[in-house]
Amino acid sequence: MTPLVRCVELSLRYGRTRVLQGVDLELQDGDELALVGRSGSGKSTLLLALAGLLPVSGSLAWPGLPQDEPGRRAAIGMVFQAPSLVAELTAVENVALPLRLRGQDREASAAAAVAALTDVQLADALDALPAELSGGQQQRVAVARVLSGQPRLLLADEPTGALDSTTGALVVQLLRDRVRSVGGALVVATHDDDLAAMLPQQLQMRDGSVLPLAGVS
Amino acid sequence: MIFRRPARWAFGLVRRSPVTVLGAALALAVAVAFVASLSSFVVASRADLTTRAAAQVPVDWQVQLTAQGDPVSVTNAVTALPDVRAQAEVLRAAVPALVSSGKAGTRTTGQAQVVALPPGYAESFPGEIRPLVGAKTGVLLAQQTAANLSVVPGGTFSVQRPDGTTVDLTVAGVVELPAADSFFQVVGAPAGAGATAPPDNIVLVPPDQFAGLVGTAPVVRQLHVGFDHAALPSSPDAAATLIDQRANNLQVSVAGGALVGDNLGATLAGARQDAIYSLLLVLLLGVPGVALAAVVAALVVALRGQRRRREVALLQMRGATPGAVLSLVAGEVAVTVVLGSALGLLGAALAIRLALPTGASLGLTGALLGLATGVLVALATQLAPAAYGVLRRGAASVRDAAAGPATTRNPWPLRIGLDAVLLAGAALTLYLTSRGGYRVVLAPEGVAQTSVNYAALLAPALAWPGLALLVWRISTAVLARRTGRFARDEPGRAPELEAASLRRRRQVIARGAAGLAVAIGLSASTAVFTATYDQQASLDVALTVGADVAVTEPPGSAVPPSAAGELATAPGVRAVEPLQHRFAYVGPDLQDLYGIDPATIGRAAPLQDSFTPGSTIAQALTDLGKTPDGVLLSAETLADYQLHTGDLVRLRLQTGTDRAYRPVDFHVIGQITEFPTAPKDSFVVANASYLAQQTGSDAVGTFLISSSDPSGTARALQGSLATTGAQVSDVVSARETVTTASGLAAADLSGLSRLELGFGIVLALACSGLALLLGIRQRRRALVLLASLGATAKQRGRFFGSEARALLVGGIVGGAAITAVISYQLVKVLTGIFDPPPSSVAIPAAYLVVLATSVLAVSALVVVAVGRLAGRAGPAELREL
Repeated sequence: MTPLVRCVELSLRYGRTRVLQGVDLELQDGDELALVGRSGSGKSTLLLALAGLLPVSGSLAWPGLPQDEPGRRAAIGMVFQAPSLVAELTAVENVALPLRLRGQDREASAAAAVAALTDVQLADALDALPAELSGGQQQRVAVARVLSGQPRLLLADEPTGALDSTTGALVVQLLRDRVRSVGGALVVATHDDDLAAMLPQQLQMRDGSVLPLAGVS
Repeated sequence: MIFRRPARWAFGLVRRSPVTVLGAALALAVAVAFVASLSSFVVASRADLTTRAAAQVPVDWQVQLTAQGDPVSVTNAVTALPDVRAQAEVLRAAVPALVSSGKAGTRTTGQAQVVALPPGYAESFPGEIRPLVGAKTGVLLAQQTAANLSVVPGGTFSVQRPDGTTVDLTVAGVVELPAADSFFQVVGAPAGAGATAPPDNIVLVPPDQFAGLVGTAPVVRQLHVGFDHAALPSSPDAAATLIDQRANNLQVSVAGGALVGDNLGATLAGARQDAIYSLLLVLLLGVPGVALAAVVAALVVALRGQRRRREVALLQMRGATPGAVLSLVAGEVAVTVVLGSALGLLGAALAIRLALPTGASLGLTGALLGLATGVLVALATQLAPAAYGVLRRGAASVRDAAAGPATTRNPWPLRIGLDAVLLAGAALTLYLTSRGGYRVVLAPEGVAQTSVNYAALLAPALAWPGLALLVWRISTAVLARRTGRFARDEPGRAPELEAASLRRRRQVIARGAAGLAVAIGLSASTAVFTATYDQQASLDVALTVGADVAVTEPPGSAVPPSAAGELATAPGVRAVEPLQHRFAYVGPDLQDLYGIDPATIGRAAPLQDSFTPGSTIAQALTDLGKTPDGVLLSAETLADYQLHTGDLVRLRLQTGTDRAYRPVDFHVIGQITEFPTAPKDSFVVANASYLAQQTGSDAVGTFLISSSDPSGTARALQGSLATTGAQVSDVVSARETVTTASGLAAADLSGLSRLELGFGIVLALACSGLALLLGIRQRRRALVLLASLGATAKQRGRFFGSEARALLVGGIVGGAAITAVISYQLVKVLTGIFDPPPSSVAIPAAYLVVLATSVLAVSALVVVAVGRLAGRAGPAELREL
């Protein structure tokens, strides 16, 4: 099977600090992986690298994703620790934004956005601005924005960090449901052991290196 | 000890963010440099005013002995005064008439003044006597007297003594007395008695001949005194007060033995008013500039406002007291003040060197005022917001402090309609002050001290904030209606989302647009005002000279109009216009009379519609051309003699071969307030052909020349006319010395214009660049988010570009509107310093184009370059999401 993403000897420095050291990783369709480790261990950086948002040394390729840049970007969805929404756009506009930027027309984007928000149980908050939503609702909008793009590789960086445990579990479940229903892979970076336990595979990160915990070969 | 922590914090900031510190220091430096150079200009111009005002006075004091005065004790008292440079005893007395005989018969004048001047008087008091023809000593006749008697040097005339006998004299020379008004003043006349006209007939004689000529006539005995002007205080105010008090002291010390005609004090009092005008000019143009410099500084500080709020919140969360936090911020302020002041003073020295005339330098007063401004701006823009945040908000959460809520609600000044109130107030004030004739500087009758009519300044003071708020209101109203529905919906674009973002950020954008509009309005209205002032100052100089170049024929010459052909061959000459100059009695007043060809005078003479109130200059000249015996009279003459258009007016002119004054009929066709070479009070303009026909002479007084190279033409003519006695003057050399109506020399005014316009453009560019930079900074998170969502650099640029476009359009359109209103108000309110008043404002097109182009270029640069950089998702930014 063609892996969605493959990295070999991935390394990265921030100034004098080495934040990734020789990371080897391959993700296949259907993988659901938890990246655990303390703050500063390199989890977030590895996710950003897998999303293609950071320049890294070593080998990094996405064989199972479209090879053109816009296509690959569209196939990767990322949920950040804080609900990263455009403050001036409503929930439905925030969800429609990446679809519009990828060339979908106005009506189709709006319809997809409404559907995604309905999926995350926010059908009654379509026209609310981020400031009018709770932290949990904002994070669900961010998840809806990711899911509406039909990504093959889902990356979530501490997606429940700003949420209570119930909402956090709901968000992770939404992401898992999507992977199970339409395929792709999910990587969740967390320092929450309970959350990590929800996923079948776990890797531990320490000082920029990856140590296998469970379910990973 | 207490400074150690703030110092460490401040130096840590310098190490971590040198660009931020330098930016804040540079913004302060602009304010410091602006105020320091402007203040230095004010100090230098005030000193210059004193020097030039004193230099205009040929005789500083005319100390007149009273009936009980003892000449010796008064002379001793004057000698004992400080700084006396020269003193001379001058005697004068009136005789019944002067008489001359020639081929055309006998000519007898009216009463004449015989004046005894000691040897060396002309050298001691230069400017009092100007030799025209013949010798400089001996028996001298005033120009008009020589013309009345029709005598030239070497000729003879008789003085009729009070006892009826006559004494024959031989004319040694003919002179002009440029300051005859003050020379023959009635010393000690009660206030409000009004000036007396100088006598028509004057004979200057050596003292040994005086007694034999005046016989038993009452003699006026004066001591003319000149002081060392270099010893005067530099401020006109202080100099006027010093001379005033010195005069009082003398009058007390001679115990009523003498009265002082204080010409120097009167002139310095006039300069005191001029100084207020020049100060007002600087203030009206400078205060908005300082305010804008403070806004620029605030914008720079705001660039790191978000980070500062986070840092303050973190410090407070870790237990720092408000005092401790503020002491750290004060450390930052101290670093920027020191650096900004040093850079600002260097900038001021450079600006003064580049913009102001040679000799101007950065003075101590200017430097101290600049430093004070720097400290105040830093406190207002850095410490005050930090203190507000610390004391008012308390310990905010780090994220709350970073986010800063956006609002679509209008700020309270707009909600209560403050813009409408301010603009209505400005309009009302302008209307009310216009009814009073826009007198910005008041000099109440009998009060030595002049004062500023601050009510007249209220109109622009209210209009500035009113217009800024109006731009804000209109910008928000327009942005609130943006839907993007009509924009092209191309793949990869999201016009409806861009519009939604604009709608919800309309307050932020409108605030930036209002700031930019004020910056552009300040630069452009200053440019329009100074261009208008410069235009009128140039016109004033041209009116004084007469044209680009003027050739004034010597008295007694009879150069015909045909001589214009020869002058026209000089290099650069475009047109030559002969101007007849005569004297005519209007009732008992002797006035200057100018004979012109109405059809062609405009080819060489500087003319404006404002010269002929109630008509255009073209219409007035057409009317004059159609009415051969028509005359244009001054407003004063029309009012004093109750004359109206169409009335017959009988003037007395020298006619016939005997040059005797005879009545000539004219018809009034209108009013004229200014004319090239004419005095500012009363004069008459008539048709040259009619004058030549009635007087029997077409002799030209002055040739007015239009030239493409006034200096070159003047040089060439000075060479070719050297032997004829004609005087050649030109506008270029006159501009260096002629004082404009505000009391500023034209050359100094040009320096002020350069200074204002230079800083104006720097501030406008800084404001536009910083407003956009701040917008990008505020949207940086959104731009990084867009990048993480897969938006290309082009898409990110477009998303922010729509905001930048809205800000620029609002700023430029608003700036144009502010320019129009403020320029109009400035010209109206300061109309008193325009002489002549302008018929329309001057538009400095080149400067405005440069300003608009620069603003657009800097904005484009900021949007493209910084927008691209800001959207670049670095590790730190991505982790912040």
